[in-house]
Amino acid sequence: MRKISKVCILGGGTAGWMTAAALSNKYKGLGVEITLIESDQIGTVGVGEATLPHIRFFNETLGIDERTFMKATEATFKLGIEFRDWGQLGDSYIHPFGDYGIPLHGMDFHQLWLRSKAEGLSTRLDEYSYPIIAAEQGRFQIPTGDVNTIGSNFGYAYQFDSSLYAKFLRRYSEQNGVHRIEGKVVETQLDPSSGHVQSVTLEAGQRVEADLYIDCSGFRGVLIEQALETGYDDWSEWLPCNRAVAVPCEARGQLLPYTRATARTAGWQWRIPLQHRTGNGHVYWNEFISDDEATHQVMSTLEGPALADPKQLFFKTGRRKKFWSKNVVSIGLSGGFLEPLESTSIHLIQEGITTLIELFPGDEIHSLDIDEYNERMGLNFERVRDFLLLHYIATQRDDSEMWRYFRNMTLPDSLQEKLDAWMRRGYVLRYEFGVFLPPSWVAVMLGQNLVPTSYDPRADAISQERLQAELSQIQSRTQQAVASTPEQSAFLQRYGAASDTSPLLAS
Amino acid sequence: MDLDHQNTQKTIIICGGGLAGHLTAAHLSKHLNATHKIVFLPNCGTSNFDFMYGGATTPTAYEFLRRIGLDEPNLIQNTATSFSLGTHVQNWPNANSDWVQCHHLPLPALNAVPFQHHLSRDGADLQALLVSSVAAKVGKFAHPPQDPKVPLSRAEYGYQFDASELVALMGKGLQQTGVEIRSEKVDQVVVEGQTISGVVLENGERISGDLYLDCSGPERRLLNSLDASFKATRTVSARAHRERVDRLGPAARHLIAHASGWQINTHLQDSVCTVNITADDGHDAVTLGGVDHAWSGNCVAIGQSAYVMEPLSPAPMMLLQADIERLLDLIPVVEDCGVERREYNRRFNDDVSLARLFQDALRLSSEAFQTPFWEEAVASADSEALERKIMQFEHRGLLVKYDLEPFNDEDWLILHSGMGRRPRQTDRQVERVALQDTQRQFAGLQSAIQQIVSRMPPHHDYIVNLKRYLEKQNHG
Repeated sequence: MRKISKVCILGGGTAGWMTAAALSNKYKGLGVEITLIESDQIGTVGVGEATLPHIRFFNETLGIDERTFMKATEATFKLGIEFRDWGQLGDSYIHPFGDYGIPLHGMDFHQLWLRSKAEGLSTRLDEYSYPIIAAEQGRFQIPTGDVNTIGSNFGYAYQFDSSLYAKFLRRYSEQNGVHRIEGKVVETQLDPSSGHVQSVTLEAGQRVEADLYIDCSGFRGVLIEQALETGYDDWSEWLPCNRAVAVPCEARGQLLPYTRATARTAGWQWRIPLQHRTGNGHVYWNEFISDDEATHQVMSTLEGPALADPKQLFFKTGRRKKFWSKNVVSIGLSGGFLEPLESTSIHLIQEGITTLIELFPGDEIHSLDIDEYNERMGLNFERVRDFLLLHYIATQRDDSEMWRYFRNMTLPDSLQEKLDAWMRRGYVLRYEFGVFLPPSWVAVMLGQNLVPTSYDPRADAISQERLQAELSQIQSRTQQAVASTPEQSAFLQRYGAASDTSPLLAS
Repeated sequence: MDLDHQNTQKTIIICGGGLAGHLTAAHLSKHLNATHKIVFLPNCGTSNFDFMYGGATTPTAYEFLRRIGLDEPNLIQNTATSFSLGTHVQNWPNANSDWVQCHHLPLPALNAVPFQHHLSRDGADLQALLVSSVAAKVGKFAHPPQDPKVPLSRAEYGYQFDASELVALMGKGLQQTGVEIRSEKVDQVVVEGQTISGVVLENGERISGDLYLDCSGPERRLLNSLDASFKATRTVSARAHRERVDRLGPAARHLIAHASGWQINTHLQDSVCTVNITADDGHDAVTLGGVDHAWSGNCVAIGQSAYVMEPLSPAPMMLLQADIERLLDLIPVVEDCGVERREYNRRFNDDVSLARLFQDALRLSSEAFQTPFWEEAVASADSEALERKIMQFEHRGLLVKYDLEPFNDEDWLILHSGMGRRPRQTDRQVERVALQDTQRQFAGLQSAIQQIVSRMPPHHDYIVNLKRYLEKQNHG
């Protein structure tokens, strides 16, 4: 008889239902009983409405049909994120899903571009990126899968209503045998000898016992922190924004296949276009702006009437000292928080789930599984943190206290080395494990005006005429490919992913 | 953009011939001829230790060699190079061990559950499910076809070669490039502060450059002049000899452990090269280990000037290739090359320690041979990073990965399995596939492999026919 047969997930937000769906899919018929406890009284945060391309793999593994999912969650396609006012006021660039250009002469494409730029080329690197040009024109189509063909050399993700996604996955999970209990946990019983969570007691008196608990209770960390007192590494020194105000509004204009992040004086504001509404929010550092002013800034820049009252959120950037402690694994906000500047919230949930599945305990909770889980998730969080920090420090802005704070910051050595190598010669320090690969670093660094002072001398091995001809061909093929791409709303209709409901209107 | 540096020609001086010097010169001339003057001084240090590179490449060397004109037809026709499906290991880790550390494409996940978990439940013999291992053991070879339905398509291969022949071939090739080759011996290295300001040739001529590449082998002629700190792991005696044969052996090197050390044979078209590594007996001593900073001042040590490793696996060749690729990525663009130096050394240290992990994972348990050679070998093979890999594999068949490792998952699975490591626990997800189904799949794969291998020609015949074919092509 196996010891690990009962799993209890605490919390029914995006993290909770994603975990329930994935575990119930992987362990169906394998003697793992999954219970999810959620309280109708406790709201979910549901801020992470924009995703990364990896989410497609998550859905595919569950056998979810893309069209059904998109309709059910009011989803739109996402080709990247537009960053406004980050390098300097008035700047704008798109961080796309996909590399620039096509493989040429065995070199990084941006090196060839840097050389041509030094020789007088004035074309933006963006002109060689299909996803950027398509996004700028509001166009989208599904890539064919051949990543070396222009028009197909990109990845895509979704922007969706995360509370609808949680509902969608709830149906999926319940059909897979997940047992849902409505109720609020009021007490946690620990095993006196091992310190493991033995059971949780609900307000109504019901006691739920399990071998393994997944804490998806959000910022509060009901099990990982309130019960096990795991502790938290505070990363506010690097990413000091600590509050947000979120508000949906009526959608206006063309349905854009990208998220927007606009830098403000004490934070930044997001805009996420869904089929039925637009999500907005302002992430800020309360040291330099009042809650009222932060709310005013977002409310006064909405594109349409607000659909709800603005919702205030409080957080502290960082991570739980142990994501997995004893028999509790924290997934989602209970494990750590990184501001959603690069849409990593849902991605980190996904990483937490796939890593848990890879290390799912067999006969007992084993310290080797715990150590490995914590090692891997720690690396994931740290690497995302450094990439987010890049956005704040790669700036020429000094128009407010917050920007001056970042300009005076002493960077972590790893990030400083990365910047030095980039500025010297357009070289990107690589790693294999971590969500943001070199093209993402190139996009943000160049987008925020960090133009290298030189380039890889190997780029000089090609004749100037040949290089110019090759670049101009890639540019025109990119334009042609975009020209034959439909606008996103037309594509959603044609593809069969358009929502059946009408856009929301303010009452 | 400040382009001054890009327009003034810089000089790179390569000191030392042998495999490291020639490969470096060939790659630099291929990529930097337009912007750099390259001076090659092969008569510096020694190439006597080139056998310590092991005489075998991995599949990744195919493109690396092709780029400098050492494509397959050239190698097969103009040297005694043969194919390598891996290394056939015997007597290691114990008396009846017999397995091939073969090159293989990723193993299939069954029902989205990694292959090794099914293997662990089934208890099947991994070696029988690897086409490159089965073929290597019986001395067969054929090029892997493209068609994924044919089991042979999963095999990968590198080459078995003799370094001196490759050097001769590259030497000829370099004559056709713009590289300035000077045959005079390097007499002296002139140092000012922490940088090299020139080298003096035996005729008294002084040559200066912007960047100096030390390819002088374990003597480290240039780097030592800058007070490089070399960390020795241990000293062994290493001997090599080449013996003619009438018939080419298998498409795999042959590695055998014995009480006083180990021996590896490389099978070339006309001969067998044998390398013997034993405890240091006062003759033919080689000190294993490496420097902390392969790039110091304006000098970069390539290959054995930077580290010396036992040729137990293709690691020494992989590292030499990595050195050259790393150098190409970081050829300085301004005089102050601090940025390049730091990044080079960071990557160098990562590459060396990751390659060492793989070789150290071949360590024997202390029961195998209780001799000074093995006691010393085992004692030097210990690190937390390796412990994590071995413990996780033995715990649940998990293949722990570090960033940008030179050896892939298949290499590690084959290694662990060859070394007799077995997971204690099987991942529960394998139960999603019925045991009979896995057994049926494994049996099917095994018999398909046996069938195709039985139809493959012996390595010798394959190369004879390939050469005939290439000969005809040349004349056609």
